[in-house]
Amino acid sequence: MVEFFLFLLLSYLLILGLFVSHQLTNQWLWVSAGYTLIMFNLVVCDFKNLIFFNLSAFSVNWGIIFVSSLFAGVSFVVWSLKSSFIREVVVYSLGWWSATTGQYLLYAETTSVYSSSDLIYWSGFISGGSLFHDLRFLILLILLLTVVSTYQNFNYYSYNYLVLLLLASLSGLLLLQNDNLIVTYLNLEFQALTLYILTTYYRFEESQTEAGLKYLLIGSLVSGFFLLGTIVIYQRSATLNVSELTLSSNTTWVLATLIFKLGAAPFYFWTPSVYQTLDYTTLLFVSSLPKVSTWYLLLVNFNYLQNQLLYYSGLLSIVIGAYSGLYQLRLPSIIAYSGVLNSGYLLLVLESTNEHHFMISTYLVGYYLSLGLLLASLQTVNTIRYTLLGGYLFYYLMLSVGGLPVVPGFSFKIYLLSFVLERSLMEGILIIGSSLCSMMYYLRVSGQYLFTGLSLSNQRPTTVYQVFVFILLLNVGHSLLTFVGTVAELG
Amino acid sequence: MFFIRCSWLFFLSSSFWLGLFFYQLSLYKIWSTVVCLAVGLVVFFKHQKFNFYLASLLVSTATVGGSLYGVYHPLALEYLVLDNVNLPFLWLTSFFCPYIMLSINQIKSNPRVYGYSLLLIQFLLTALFSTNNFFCFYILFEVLAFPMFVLIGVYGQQVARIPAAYKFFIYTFAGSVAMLVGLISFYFFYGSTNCRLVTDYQSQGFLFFLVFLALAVKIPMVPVHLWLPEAHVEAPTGVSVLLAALLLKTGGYGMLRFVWPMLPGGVHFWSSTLIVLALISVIVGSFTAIAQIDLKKTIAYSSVAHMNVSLLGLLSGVEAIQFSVYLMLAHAFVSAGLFTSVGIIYDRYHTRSIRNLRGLNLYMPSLFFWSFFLILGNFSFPLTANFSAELVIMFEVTQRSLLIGLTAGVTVLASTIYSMWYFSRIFNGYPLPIRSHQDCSPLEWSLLVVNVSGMLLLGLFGGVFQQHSTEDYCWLLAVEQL
Repeated sequence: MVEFFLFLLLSYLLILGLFVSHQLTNQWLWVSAGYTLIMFNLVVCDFKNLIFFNLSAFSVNWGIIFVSSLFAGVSFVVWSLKSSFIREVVVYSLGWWSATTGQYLLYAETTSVYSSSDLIYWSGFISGGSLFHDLRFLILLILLLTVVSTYQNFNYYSYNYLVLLLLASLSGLLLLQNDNLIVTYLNLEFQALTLYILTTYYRFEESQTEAGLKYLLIGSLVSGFFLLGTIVIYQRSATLNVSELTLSSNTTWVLATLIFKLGAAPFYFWTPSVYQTLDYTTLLFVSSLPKVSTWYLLLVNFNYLQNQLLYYSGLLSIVIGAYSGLYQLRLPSIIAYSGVLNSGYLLLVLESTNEHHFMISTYLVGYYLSLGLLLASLQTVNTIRYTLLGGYLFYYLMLSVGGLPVVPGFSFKIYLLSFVLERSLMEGILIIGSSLCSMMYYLRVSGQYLFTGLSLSNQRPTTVYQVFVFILLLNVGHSLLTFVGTVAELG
Repeated sequence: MFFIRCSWLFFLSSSFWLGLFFYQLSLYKIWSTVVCLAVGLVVFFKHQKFNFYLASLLVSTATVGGSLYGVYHPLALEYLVLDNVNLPFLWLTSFFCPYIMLSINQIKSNPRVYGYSLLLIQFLLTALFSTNNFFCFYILFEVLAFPMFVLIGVYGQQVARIPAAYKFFIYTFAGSVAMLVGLISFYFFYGSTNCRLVTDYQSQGFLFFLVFLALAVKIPMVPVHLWLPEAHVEAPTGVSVLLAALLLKTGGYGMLRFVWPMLPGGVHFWSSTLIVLALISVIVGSFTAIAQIDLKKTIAYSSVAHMNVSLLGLLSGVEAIQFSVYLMLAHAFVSAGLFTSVGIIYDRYHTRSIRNLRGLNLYMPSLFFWSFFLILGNFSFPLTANFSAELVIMFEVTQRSLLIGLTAGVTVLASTIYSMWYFSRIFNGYPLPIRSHQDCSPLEWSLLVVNVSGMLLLGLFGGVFQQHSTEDYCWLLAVEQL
């Protein structure tokens, strides 16, 4: 518990620092202080793990601390050169991101330390996983994509926006690292508060204010549910530690909150109306980050609490996501219903075995990588000359979101089908029908882009593309790996 | 553009990995170098159109060479299969892909993406015709639809190309999804999807239905054939040739290679239904072809009829199966030639309607001459490959039942009607009042000659093909050799 309060203290100090810094002229000092704090948070978290680790992991940790401080130093030098604002942010994010990524890559070698079930709460790793199953990595990737897609329209997304992004992803990371209901509640609130502000970032537009207000009202109601659920659990089983919960604890309220956060049926009504008013950058962030951390909670923290609620919610989500998506005319609503559909798929196979964790986290990384790339490329499309090759990229990403062969979603779909076909044929037919419907609307969007083109402009693309291509390579590598794995398993 | 620069890199690196992969299999030791060289040439000459042709040709050479020299390597046979069943299909792919690549000259906008898509399709088809795993077959089968969607939707000439592309994709995808369910169930029952490992054939009716749906879309059989005329009409000439000559064959090949050895129980369960459906398709295809005024639609419906005759053959014993493969090859040459000739006419007059064309023999004598041979092939005139193939299939089918033979025989009459109607309406009659005219260019001339000679050579020397393949077909059907 002490560590949790330490984390909370640090993060609220960070918020305080950032708010104070807004009043100061020398803001960047505070921003770098904030980053250092975040890194410190992560390091402290790893320090907790050190107790259980062997000595080699210990030295690895110090190597990482060295590397991240090196990056901080480099960033500080860049800052002192007084170059443009956004460049620093990009450099900082890249530095931070690569430091943490390096950390996880090194950890991947010492996978055995995660075999103990006690430690699973302490990282985004699903045990036995690699980088592609790591949800912390995914959160950092989402952050990177979002920051990169603000690059083109910097004036539009000012300082506050980037700070909010960082805070939200910090809360996302913190959600992956606790086992206490109250702390989970506080982190969920922390995340939700930043997201409310992000969704209403254009406060001068009436529609956006309305959508943000809707989000705020319903979200607050639902966090009330979570608190109520916590009380009920405490009454029943006299514990707040998630690892001590049993099947007899009444967890319906808590699960309802998580279903709301996922945007799965029956609590999906807010997603289309909120997503419709957002620009693509914010949409990228809002549609992926809270869901990733919620999935982690469902997979790891509440994994033994399956009940019929989640199963029926999954079935309903599949029907609604596939059918309602057909009638949407705007891309954000299509993405909202695609999110409903995919939540449904995952809810159907949510079980606490390791194999399921593996598949679900693979799917999450594949899905959100594709979706994030799609939205980031749409955000920058105003400044890209339309090319057919760009259309091909868009098409590939849409197929990837739809889960067609040789893309990451496909191996999950095979797994899903094989799991469900063992249970009953009707569910299999339901999934087949829904994937046909969803493919129709994905195809319509990509056909629109391929055959007619979206916009024409002659500005040259910039370094953003290098980052895109890098992430695209990750995506392709991911799909190839999963594909080879699937074929090896089936052959 | 950064993207375009990167795309070269992708292709270069992918060809490198591909080459390495084949090198590991010890199959294409020399030829992998050739493939890399081919793709490297495309990059080096910065997308000159001719280099796409060169690359395609070199990949074909590698395929044919590999199939000739690397057949019996045990490690390769773990993943690939190379016997007399798929060699004709591999060679057909190797022949027609460079042929189709030549049509890149007619593409005005984005020729590079066209070339890359065709190279991708060539790779996919080569892999599809050489894998021994049904699941790999399924994946390649479905991935083939993605570049085809782009090729039809982007490079077609009219506005109606977009619904045609959607129709193509959705039909194919619906079929493929059913096949996926079938394959997963299959894997549950038998524990493998390798065509050499499955030996138990009980209760396969439903599995066969699911798996065959995807193949029926590609063959195409009557309830699910509606995408074909649309796609043919809207696609550019090269893509029409690709569809008729290669993609339709993937359905028949899947039936032959995977369905017969792995789901024989299902085939026997459904065979009478399938025969009735194939007969309906033959009759509907033939008579709809008579009613068409669009040249490409006529050829498309005649494809429906011919491919279903070959499906009839696939259901009627070893001898008929050999000749139905033979008919598929013959149909590839004939329909490719006919689509090329329609493309030539469309280039000159910008119409494909029979109502607007007449008396072309005055203006285009060489097109007239070579089209005449292709038309003869289309209604199975003796000495063409189609004749010997259809003769044997009809013979075998009639042995099974006279009624089926007579019903299938309607196609012989109907094909004569629509072919002669088509031919005489375009080439005979009072000439059109046209000021300028131009006969075939040397390239177009040679394309037609290649098709006609392919058709005639197959017709004259088909017996060689038959003698060599009997053993493998007997193995496929688990029948003792006579």
